[in-house]
Amino acid sequence: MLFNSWDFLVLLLVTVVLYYFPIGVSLRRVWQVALLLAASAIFYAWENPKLLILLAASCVLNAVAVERILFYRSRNKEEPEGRKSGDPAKRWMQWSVAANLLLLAFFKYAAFIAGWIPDVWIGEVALEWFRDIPLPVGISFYTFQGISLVVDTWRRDISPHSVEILRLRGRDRVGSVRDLSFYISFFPQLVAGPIVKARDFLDQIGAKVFRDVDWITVRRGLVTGYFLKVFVADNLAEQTGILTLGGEKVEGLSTVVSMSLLYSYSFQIFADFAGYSLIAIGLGALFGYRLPPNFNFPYLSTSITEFWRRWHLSLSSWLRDYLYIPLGGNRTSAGRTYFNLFLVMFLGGLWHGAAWKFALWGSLHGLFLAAERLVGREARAGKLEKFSVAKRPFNICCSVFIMIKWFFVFHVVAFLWLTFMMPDMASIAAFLQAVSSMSLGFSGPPVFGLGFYGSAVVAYHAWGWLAEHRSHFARRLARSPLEPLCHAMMIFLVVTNPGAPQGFIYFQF
Amino acid sequence: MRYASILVFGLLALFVIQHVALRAVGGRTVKSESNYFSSLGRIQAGVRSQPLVMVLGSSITGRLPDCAQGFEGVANLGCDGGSAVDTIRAIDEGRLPCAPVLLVEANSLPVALRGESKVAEAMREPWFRVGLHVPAVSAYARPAAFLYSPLLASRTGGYEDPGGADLGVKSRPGEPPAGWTELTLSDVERDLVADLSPRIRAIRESGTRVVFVWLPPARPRGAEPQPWIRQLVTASGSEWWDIGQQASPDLVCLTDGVHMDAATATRTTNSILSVFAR
Repeated sequence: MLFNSWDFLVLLLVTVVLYYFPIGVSLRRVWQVALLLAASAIFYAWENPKLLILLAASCVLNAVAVERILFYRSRNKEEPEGRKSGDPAKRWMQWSVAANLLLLAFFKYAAFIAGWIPDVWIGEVALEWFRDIPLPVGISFYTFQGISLVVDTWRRDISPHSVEILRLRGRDRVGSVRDLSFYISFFPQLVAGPIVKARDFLDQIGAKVFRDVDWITVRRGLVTGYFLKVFVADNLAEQTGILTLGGEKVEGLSTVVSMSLLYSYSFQIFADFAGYSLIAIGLGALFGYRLPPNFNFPYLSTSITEFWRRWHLSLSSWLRDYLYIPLGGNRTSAGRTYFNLFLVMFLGGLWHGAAWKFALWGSLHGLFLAAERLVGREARAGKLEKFSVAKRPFNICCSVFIMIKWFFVFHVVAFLWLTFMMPDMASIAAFLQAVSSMSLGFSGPPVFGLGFYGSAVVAYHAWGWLAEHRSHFARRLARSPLEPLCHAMMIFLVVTNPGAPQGFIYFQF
Repeated sequence: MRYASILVFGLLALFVIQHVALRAVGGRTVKSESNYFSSLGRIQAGVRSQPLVMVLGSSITGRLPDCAQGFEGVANLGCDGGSAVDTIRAIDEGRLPCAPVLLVEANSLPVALRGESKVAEAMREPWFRVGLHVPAVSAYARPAAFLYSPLLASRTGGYEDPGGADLGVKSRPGEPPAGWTELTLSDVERDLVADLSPRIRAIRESGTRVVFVWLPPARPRGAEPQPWIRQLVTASGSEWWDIGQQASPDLVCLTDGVHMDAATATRTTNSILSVFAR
C-alpha cells in the first residue's frame, strides 16, 4: 500500500479513530499495540497477502532469538563462574543474525549469486527458478531492524524495563512477542525506513493519549513529506523516465537536456525518499512514536563524508553501529580504516540492490570517503596546511573555496546517481557522451520541469542553510506566519499540481 | 488556532488566484509540461464545453486547436501516448459524455494494439471524475500549465484565428472504399476489432455520427491503413474521411515528422469545421 493512495488514507483514518478511542487505562496499551499491528499487517499484505508469512517469520525468528539470549543471560548470571561453558547467548545472537541475513540473501540476492555460477553447474531451469523469486517489499529494512533487535539485546543496549517485558514467559510471552513484532512491523517505517534501532524504540511502546500528540511534528512531516513526494518527485519522474530507457534514448540528448535530467533525478530521488521519511515521521508522531530523522539537507554537503552524515541517516547510523565499529572502525591502522570504509560502502551499495551497478555506486562513494579521510589526515599532519580553510576567519576566498567544494561534491553525488537510475554501464557511457557533446539545443519539458519542481528542493535546502548558519533569523521566520503560508502553498500544489502517481524509489530496495 | 487560520486563509487566497487566472486565459490552459496531464486536461476541458464535434485520437490530434482557442464547436480529446481507443471505451462505458459527431483519428490506432495507455487508466480514477466537474482540481488548471503554456506559445508560435484558410480538402466523409472487408487479421487485431465494433455501433445507435479520419501527415504514397483499421471502419458501420492524403502538401508542415505545426493544425481544424459546423 502506498502512502499516496486513497486506500492508505482510509486505513489511516480508521486506525487513528480506533487508536484514540476512549478505552480503560489498563487495556489501552494492549489495544493500541494490537491495533497498530493489525493495521501494519493490512498495510503490508494489501498488494500481496503471501508476503505477510515472511514478515511473520521474521518476527517469530527474532522473538525466539531474543527470548533465548535473555534466558541464557539470566542463567549465566546464576551459574557459578567455574561452571560457565562458552556463551550460548552469543551463539544465539550470531545464529539469528545469520538467519536474518540468509532470509535477506535468499529473497534479494539468490538470482544475483546464481548468475555467477557457471552454466554447466547450474541448469537453465534452476537459474530461472532463482530469477522468479520475488523481492518482498521492505525486506531490507525489517531485516536490519531484526538484526538491531538481537544485537542490542545481546549487547545489553536496551533498557531494563524493555528487558523485563521481552523476557516474559508462559502466557505473558504473547505480550512480549506482540511488542517485538510491533517494533519490526510498525507500518509508517516498515517498507522504506527510517531504520529504527531497538534501543530507540522499545521504550516508547506504551499507552498513548490524544492530547500528547506532537502536532507540530505531525503537520511538518505530513505536509512537507507529501509535498516533496507528490508535487516534486512524481512530477520530475515523468521527465527523468527517459534515463531508464537505455543508451539509444539518451545518446541523442543535448548537453543542456542531459544535465537537466541529471539534476532533476538528483532532486527527484531526494524528494522521493526524504518525502517518504517525513511522512513516516509524521505518521509515527500521530501515533505517539518518535522516529529518527533520515535526512538533514544532504545537498548542502561540502564533502562526501558530510553527505553521508546528512543522507539516509538511519542507514548510515546502522552501518556504523552494526558493521563499521565491529570491523574495528577507525581504531585500527590507517590502511585497515580505509579498507573498512570501503567495505562498508561496498556492502551498503549492495544493500540497495542485487546488481553490480549498486556495488559500483557504493564502492565509488567508499573510495571518495577513504580519499577524504586520507586528505584530512594529511592536512591534520600539517602537510596540506595551505589547503585548509577550517581555521581561517570568514572571508571571500574562504566562501569561494567552500562553494567550489560544494559544487564538486554535488556533482560527484549527482553523477553517481546515474548508477541507480540507468539500466547498464553502456547507457551511462551514452549519457556521458551526451553530456560532453556540448550541444545547447533543448526541448522544453525537462528544463521547465527542473526549474519549476527543482526550485522547491533548492528552496528547501536554502531553508536548511538558513537554519544552520543564520539560526536566529530562521527561528524568527519559523514563528512568523511564514510556516502556515508555506504549508498552504504546499497543500495547494499537492491538490492542484500532483504528478502521475508513482511508487517510492526505495521500495525496490 | 493562529496556524489553522492562516493556513485556511492562505489556501482560500490561492484558490481565488487560480480561479481568476483560469478566467483570464479563457477557461483552460493550453499545455502542461507533462504530456500525461496535458491529455487529461484536454479531455476534461473538452467534454465540459458540450461540443458539436469531438476529435478522439493521440498526440497528433492533441495539436489541433479547439474551443479553448476560439474554434467553437470542436473539442480536442487527444491522448498523448495513447489513441482514440482510450476515449471510445470511456464514452461507451459512460465515463465521458458524447457529442453529436465523433471524429476518430485513424493515424495512431495501431498504438492500441500495445494495450491501454496511462491516460486511459487515469480516466478511471476518482480524481479524474472530480476534475470533470471542479475546474480547480482539473488537469487544465495546474499551476505549472499557467507558466508552461505561454512559454510554449512564445517558442512555437500560437494558433491563428478561427475562420481562416483550411487544408483545401475537397472530399467529404462517406462510405469507406470498397474492398475494406474480409481481411486477414492477427489474433490481437481480431480481438480489438471484436471489442471496438459493438462499442462504436452502440454509440452510433444513440444518434452519434462516427467518422474515422486520417489527419496529416499523409501515409506513404499508395499505402492503405492497416487491414484491421479498415475492417473496424466497415464492421462498425462508420464513415471514412482522408484529410491527410488529400491535403495539399504545400499547406502541411510538421515539426518532427509526425506532429503538425500550429499553422497546419489551425487549417486542419478549419477543414473539420467547414464540414461539420458551417
